[in-house]
Amino acid sequence: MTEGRTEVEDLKRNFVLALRKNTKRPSSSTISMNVINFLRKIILVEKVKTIAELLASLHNHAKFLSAVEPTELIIINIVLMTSKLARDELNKKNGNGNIRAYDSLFTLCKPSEPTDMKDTDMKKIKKDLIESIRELTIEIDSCRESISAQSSDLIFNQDVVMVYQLETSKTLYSFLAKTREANRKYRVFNVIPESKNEELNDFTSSIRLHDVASKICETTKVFLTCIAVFPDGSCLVPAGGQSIALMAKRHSVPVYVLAPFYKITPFFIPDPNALNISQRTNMPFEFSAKSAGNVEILQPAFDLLDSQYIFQFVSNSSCIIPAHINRLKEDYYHPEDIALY
Amino acid sequence: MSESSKKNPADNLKEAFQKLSNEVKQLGMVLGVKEGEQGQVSQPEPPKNEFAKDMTQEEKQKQRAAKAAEKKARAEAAAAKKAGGAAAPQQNQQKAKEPAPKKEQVAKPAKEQNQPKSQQQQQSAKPKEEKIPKSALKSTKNQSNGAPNREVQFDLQSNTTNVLRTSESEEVVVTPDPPIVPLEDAQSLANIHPAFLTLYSRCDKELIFDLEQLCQEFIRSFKLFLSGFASHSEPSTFSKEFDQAIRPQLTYLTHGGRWPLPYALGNIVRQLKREVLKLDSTSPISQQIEDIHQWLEDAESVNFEDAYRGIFASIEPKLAKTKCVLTYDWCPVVNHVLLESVEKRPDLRVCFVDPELNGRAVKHVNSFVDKGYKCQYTDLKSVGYAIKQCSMIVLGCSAILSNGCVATTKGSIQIALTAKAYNVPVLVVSQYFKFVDKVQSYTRMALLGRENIELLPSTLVTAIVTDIRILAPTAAPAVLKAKALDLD
Amino acid sequence: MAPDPKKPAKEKPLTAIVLLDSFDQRFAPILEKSYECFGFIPLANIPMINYTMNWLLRTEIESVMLVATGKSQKYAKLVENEWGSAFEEFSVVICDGSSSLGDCLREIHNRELITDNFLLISNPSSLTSSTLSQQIRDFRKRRVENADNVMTLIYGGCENREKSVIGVNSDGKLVLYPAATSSGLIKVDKVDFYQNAQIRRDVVNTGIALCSRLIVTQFNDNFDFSTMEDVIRELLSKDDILGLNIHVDVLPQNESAYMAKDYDTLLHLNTLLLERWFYPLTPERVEVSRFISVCPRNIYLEEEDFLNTSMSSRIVLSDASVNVSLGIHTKISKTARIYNSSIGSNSEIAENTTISNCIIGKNVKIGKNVEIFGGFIGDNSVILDNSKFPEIIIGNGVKMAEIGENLENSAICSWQVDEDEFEKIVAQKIGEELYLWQLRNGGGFWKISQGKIGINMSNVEENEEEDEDFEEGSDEDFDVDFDDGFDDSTRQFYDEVFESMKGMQSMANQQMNNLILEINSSKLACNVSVDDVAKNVFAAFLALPGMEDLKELLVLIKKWRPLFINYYKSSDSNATARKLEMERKCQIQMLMAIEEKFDKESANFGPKCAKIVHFLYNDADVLDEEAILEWAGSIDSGSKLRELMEPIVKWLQEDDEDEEEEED
Repeated sequence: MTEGRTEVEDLKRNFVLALRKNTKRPSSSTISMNVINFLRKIILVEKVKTIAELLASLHNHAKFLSAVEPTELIIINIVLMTSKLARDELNKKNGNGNIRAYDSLFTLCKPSEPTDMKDTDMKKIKKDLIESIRELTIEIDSCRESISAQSSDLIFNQDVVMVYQLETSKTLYSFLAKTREANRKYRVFNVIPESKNEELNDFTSSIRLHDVASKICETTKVFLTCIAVFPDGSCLVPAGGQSIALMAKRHSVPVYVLAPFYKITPFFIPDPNALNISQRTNMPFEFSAKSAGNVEILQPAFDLLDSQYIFQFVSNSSCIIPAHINRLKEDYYHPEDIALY
Repeated sequence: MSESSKKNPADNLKEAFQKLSNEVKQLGMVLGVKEGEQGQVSQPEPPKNEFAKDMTQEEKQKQRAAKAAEKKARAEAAAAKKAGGAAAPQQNQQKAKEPAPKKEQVAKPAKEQNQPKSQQQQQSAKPKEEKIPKSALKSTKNQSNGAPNREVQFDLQSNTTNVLRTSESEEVVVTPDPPIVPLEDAQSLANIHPAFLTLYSRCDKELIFDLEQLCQEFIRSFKLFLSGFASHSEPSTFSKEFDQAIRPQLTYLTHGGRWPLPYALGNIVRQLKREVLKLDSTSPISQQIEDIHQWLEDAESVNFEDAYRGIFASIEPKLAKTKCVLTYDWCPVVNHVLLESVEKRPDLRVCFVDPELNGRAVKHVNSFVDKGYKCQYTDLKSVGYAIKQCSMIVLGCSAILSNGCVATTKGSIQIALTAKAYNVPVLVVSQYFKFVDKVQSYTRMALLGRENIELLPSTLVTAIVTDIRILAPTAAPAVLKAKALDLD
Repeated sequence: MAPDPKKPAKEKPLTAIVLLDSFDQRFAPILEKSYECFGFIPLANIPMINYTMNWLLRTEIESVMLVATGKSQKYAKLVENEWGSAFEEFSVVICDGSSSLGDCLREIHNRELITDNFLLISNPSSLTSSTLSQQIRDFRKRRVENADNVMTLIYGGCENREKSVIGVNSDGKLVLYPAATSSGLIKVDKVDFYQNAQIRRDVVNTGIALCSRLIVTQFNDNFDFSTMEDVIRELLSKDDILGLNIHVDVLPQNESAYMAKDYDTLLHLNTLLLERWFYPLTPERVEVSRFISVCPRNIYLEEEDFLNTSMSSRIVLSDASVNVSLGIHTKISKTARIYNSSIGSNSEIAENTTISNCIIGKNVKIGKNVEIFGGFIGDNSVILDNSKFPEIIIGNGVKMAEIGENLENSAICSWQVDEDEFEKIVAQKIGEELYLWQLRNGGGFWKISQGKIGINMSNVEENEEEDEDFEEGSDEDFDVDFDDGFDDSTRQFYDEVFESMKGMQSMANQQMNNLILEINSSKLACNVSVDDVAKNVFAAFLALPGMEDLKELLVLIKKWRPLFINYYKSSDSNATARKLEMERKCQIQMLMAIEEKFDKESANFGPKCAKIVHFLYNDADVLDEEAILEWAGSIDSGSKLRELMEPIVKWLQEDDEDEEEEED
């Protein structure tokens, strides 16, 4: 069955199949964990002699994955993070561990390319790399808790909070739940899209998207989830988030966006529309008998939210204003990786 | 002692019943004798006026009996409904049905005259219910002065009604515990023209899709009402009489004045009333009726078909250069405009937005697909994406307020805000009759009850397209003045 | 049911049987010398079998059996390579020489490969967005409740394009199914309505069926069954005997499912797929080794390589184009308008062309100002400038300009059909290297319900009117095997009876009982009604060899009297009125058979008619006068037969009068 395919290719295939097998998109943290594990396996299996080769193969995988799943920016992010970790290992090896890649003022001359290393070091490098990857894994795992921990700083008594699609995000849910634990009394408006009439929780009241205009007058804060954050502070939010943010801006209500660090994308997407894939149309199937071919039903997955509408990003370390995202990306990514991409 | 006192009321009661049954029997005999004269009585409709003038005592009695029978029928029905815990709409529906049979009864009072005999004998044991209709009658008597058709008979019977009433009231000892409320409705509904009853129940059942349809149906109902209107006053007082006649109808439609009529409809009604007041009091009644009729016809064509054409003519040059147009929710004006544009320019792309998928805008989609045009369809949450590719937004409205605010469907603010963020012009199409001299909205309207109206601030609207020209939203007061739509 | 700790917590997941081929010969023009395997016809430029495998991944199924014919063996291997690792068990079954689903299943039965319930996908183009978990659960529950619930058909909740209907009762049991020739029309009786049969036409068959082992044995038992529909009809018609139930499960409105049976539905399926109705089953997520990027307006661009994701910047399609899938290296002009189509790699489309609802193969060159509104164009074809086509099917390598002829119901290929292999197709040459292929029986190529078979609004009863419907000629010469209004089963019955009689005739000792037994068993097997039996028995009799000679005929009638008595006359003198009524009907049918024969061979048979009737009445005492009179009265007055029958009629009537006089 695997004639002509190497183990690495097999791994790649299985990873992609596993990703595509799901009917519903799993949560972002699950995806990132899967990616990390996949990368760990690849690194273990990949037979490379130098770091350069390792990096090249990682980038190859990044390109492959992004071609295969262009909408999942997290995948690329994680691969790039791994690549940074690899470069860090290299720098440590070279004794340049303390030089930050971005401090170009201090270092006039620094090695711009990873030098060739001897074979025996590869094993150690790999071992260390796997170790750093493990730390990364732990960090991803604990993202949700760290974000939720900040909720008590943000939501106070008598607050009226508006959230969008609470049921799709575990992070958002635990964020709100944490505040309840702290015994803060506040109200939550949950904007739900289609006619899902269930009252999911006892502490939220559900409203529809077209009711937002009338309810925004009473709202004090808006919390949104995001899909990816770009270096200029703009972000991709689930479709519909933009109109909520626009209303909030009109009524001067602050908009907070929950963004775990692995969603911070170090590069710009030239045309987010090209990325914006339709999901399933939610029309009943019988509509297709008449409409197929004649009616184009638009169901984009994302909305691009400009940075001017966002008050703060709530990340796992702290709250960040949009202007600082650019600087923050340096913590996780290496400039050369971004340039290559 | 107690026994005697007990007996006394009982005896009194028995006497009362005895007397009543005697009188009823007499009445019956009277009716029975008068069966030969059915011929005359059975044509009430055409010789209405003659009928009014040539009343003989017997005929008056006959009519009395007829109306009593009707009242009993209604009372019975009302009591039954009350027993069954009837809700108002049920009543309305039943009442809606009842005016129809009642009309028939008018045409054949002969039949009724046989009925009251049996009915009265049945109901001789229920004097209380007889009383109530009559007392209710008295109270609504004032209301029903100008009411159409049969009601006219009641007016003229008022004297005799009183006579009958007073004669019987002395004997009645037991004062009942009447179900006044449903009966009153039953009574008052009797005045309402069936066309309005139908209109009301249709709105209740949400068979009326939008404001345009409502206005058109209202005009049609009014025409029916007009054609069935019977007047017997002087030409000079006709307009006042007619005005009085309209009032209960409108009161009914607005639930007794509890909720205002939708704006645009209120405009039409106000203009109508003005027309009625302006009627030439010297011309004969039929001429005046004809005038009102003509005005209604004009209103129907000016406000709808002609207006659609005018609006399309105004907006066409703007649409000619547009690549893609977006619209929100259903509006027949917008539908007309877009269909015409697509016929002239098949490469115009049209996008329909619904608050939620499979909502009212599907009507737009169906109208396009049936004609073989392609279109796009999406819901409110995708509007950011949709507007990015559009170059113009066209919205329908239910009213334009005097401060330039536009009353539209809920969710339009988000469309307008997103449009502003992407610099896409927002045009609102509206006929002249939708301009209202108000500045606030109400949470609930009569007839179109849903709280589905949102006020779009004038700063978010680029222009309003009317039948004659395109104007800025702040020009609304000028329009009000020009079209004499303002309140004064 | 409380979970039994001893029982396994989870039921063994179903096995899936997927057929790779389609045995419908209407796809021959595009399969032959081109794709060669139905499962590899591209939908949105990806072979359709990949979609099937992809959605199977999402169900609970872990073991897949791919069934292919010998010709498609190498394609089956390809599928195994690609998808084998995704399932726990993946096996390929090659059924050499099978020409139908039935053959394949019989093969499987012989090899004893199926031991349990299974999911049958009889058409590789069955696609669905559902995971079928609820449906499989319900199926298992039904199986447990009643072992006779053998099959559940999955239907999608959308109106089907052939406008066919089925009848379902409130339990979901299938009670009415269209007959073979009636293209979706069903015969409904009052009884069905009493039993709450709901007639549904808002559903579409998806070709997915959850079956029990018994279905395979059904195929095994009867060698005539070739498609799933045969089994369905059989089970329905033998409901009282076999007592097996078929259920119908209609998917909810938020799930989509569809299947392609002919070109029309194939293109519709293509459009649905491009519009993402089957999400998460979408073209770009199906094959792991292909890279497809999706642009706004549902435009799918295939990249050659994941390193060069710059396709989106090179291709500029006109604004109007929507729902398009482009292969690699395609060259599309900016002014061309493409709607709902897939265009294969290396194809070129020139200026100002409108392409709507098409599947275009590789290396196709389409000229300027062409308008195609629905078509299937094979690889390496050329369409010349300024042509306009409504629905067409063009095979490989065809160079095509607009031809004036009516192309409905046909396909155009550049080679002559191999008539042995594809016996249902005929071809005629219409130009240089151009052949027009049509289905022999005039059925619809494009749409199953087009063509002669199927637009038959009258009920499928054996009336003579049906013969007229089918006389709209095609140019083809029909063999004796015409389908001229006879229901398949009636035809079968007739043939069988004829055979039996012939056999009997040749025997020395002609035992009528045996013949009667044989005829009866044929009747049960073919499920024909009593009227049909009556007519066809006599018709077969008249058709026997040696019947031309009147004397022989009469002798044989006498000899075979018991046979006729059995069918046309009751020996019981105490027969009830109803039974007499039945008899009369049978006798009338017999006379109808005579009439039919007369219509066919009036010259020969005419003079014998009257004599035969006379003989049957008088000497053989098989017919009664009421029957004869009624029948004679019903003959067309212009017909010669009437004249011939006149004397008999008169004689009979005189006879009556005589008898009456006698009775007086």
